[in-house]
Amino acid sequence: MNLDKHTQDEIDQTMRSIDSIERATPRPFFVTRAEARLDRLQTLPKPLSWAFRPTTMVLALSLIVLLNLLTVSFFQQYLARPDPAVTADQFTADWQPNNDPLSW
Amino acid sequence: MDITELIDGLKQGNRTAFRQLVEMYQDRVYNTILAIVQQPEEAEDVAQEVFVQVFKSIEQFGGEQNLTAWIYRIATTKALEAYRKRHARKRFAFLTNLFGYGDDEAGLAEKLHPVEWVHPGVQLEQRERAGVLFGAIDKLPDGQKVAFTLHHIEGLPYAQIAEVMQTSVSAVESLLHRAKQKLRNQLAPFYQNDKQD
Repeated sequence: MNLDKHTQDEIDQTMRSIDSIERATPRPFFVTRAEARLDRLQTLPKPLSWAFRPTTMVLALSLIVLLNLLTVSFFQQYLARPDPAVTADQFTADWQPNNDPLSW
Repeated sequence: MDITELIDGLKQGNRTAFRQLVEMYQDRVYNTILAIVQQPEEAEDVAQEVFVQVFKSIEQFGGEQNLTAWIYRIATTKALEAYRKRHARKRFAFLTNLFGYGDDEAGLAEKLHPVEWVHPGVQLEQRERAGVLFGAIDKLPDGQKVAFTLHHIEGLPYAQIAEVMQTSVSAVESLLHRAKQKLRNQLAPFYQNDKQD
């Protein structure tokens, strides 16, 4: 990038503006606040910590897969079954010559 | 208490060791995080989180590693995470505002064009220029931002930055070179416009 001398000088000065920077420090009693935070975290109950263990997660995943397989299997069996409504219609047609109840 | 005793104390869950750890590293951790997140309250919150994380995961710390580099690594990672979360919130606030929800116009203007931030350690006569520079640092990619902060704000040598970033010294040199180039490119239009005004 071709820049004029003025711009180059300004950029150089800005880049040097942090050369003598001093380290920033946190507000007083930072240690006490950090300890209080640690205390808070250590006293918090961990009711769900077991749920994130690898063993629990693998078991949960296996259970979901098993439930899915069972659902698919039952659905296939259900589809293979004869339709009860069709069977009833066939029964009526077979055993009643005139199936309109008001036509007698 | 030397470093080995400190690490042993932390591994035993010793509260005195935790206090010692915070006292030893608070300035270094806070200064690094502040330069990245550019917000004092958030920097303090993240710094506390870093110490709690160090205390909780000290078992994972390998004895052959440098404790200081490990703490710097946790600090820069957490600072970048906090920075990303804040910017995601800003983008969400911008979207909700577009659809008529959320803050008023003044709040939105402040979010989109935040007041220039200056590091408190900058010399008084350099504050204006440093404000412009920190605005440009804020736009650097993560790796370049971390390398630039550790070298220019924290004053770490290349070898230590390489240890923190788990990379080679030549990679750190390259990151710093690209960071400076990018900063110069960002600053150029600012001073060209300034000259025209």
